[in-house]
Amino acid sequence: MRGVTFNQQRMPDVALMSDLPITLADSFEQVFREREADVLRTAYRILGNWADAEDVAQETFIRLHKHGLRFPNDIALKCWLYRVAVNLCLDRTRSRRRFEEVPETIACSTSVEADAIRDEQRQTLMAALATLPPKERAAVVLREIEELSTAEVAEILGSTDGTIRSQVAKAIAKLRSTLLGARQ
Amino acid sequence: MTEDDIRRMLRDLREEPVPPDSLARVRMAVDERLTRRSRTPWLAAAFATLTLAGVATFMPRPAALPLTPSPARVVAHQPTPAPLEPVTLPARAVAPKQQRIRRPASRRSESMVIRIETPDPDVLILLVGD
Repeated sequence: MRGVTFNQQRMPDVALMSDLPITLADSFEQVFREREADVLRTAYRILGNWADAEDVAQETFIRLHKHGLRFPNDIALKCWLYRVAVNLCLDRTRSRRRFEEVPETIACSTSVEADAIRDEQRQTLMAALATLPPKERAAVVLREIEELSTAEVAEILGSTDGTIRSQVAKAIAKLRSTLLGARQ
Repeated sequence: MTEDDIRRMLRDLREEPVPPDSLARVRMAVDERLTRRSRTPWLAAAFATLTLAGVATFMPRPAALPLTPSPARVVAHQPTPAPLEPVTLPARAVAPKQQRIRRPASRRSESMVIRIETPDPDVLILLVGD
């Protein structure tokens, strides 16, 4: 999969979407384009590396293709995508138990001092995120980074609003203490 | 550093761009898998058709069987029993099956009849004595 040059113009044929409902068959590409970055970014925040995040994003969209676009509305579709992606991420973290690697950061070629500080902060924050339990991490990523509503996060994680609020608050407190500890 | 700062930093993470080559790899992989998936049924169908054609070509044909008329269905004809007339049965005569013989009341007084019923309702044993 890696190292393959990808022609940006080349996308799955509409004919390949034949098992989707006919009226929505040509929407798969549209959904894919609109959501791929969200799914990939979320997977990366939970898993901490791009290679695993790519696998999760790929599997999520293959499952969407199999499932078809039978959703009552856009929110249902969005929640379904996040739920599949998060579950795949949690499965991976369960098998790995805990990811110890320092999260990758994107190289910035034009980094001035401010950018360098920000990058450092991001790296520290990602390392702190990695220390959270997987479910808390997923809750924080969806609620605070992806800015989904508490109800949406609860639906995605199969939990209640109260539990999500509690998990997010606990996670932010842990992140704070980790970051403060890192500064000292 | 407050919790609000943490929340702000987390929101900033959303602005971090997704690497274009990473997105491209996902697109490529999804494209490949969907193409493979769409080809698979056609390949399977083609293979199955070829296999069936091969089997049909090389399979020895069974010799033509002679036509034998099917045996006519024999329907047992059961004539409707004629109304019984009062007859004088010979001594120790075996009563015909599936028929109940009622002797006329006038004869009963003259001869002794022992009637034995069997489990089969159609079989009745009559012992007639003078």
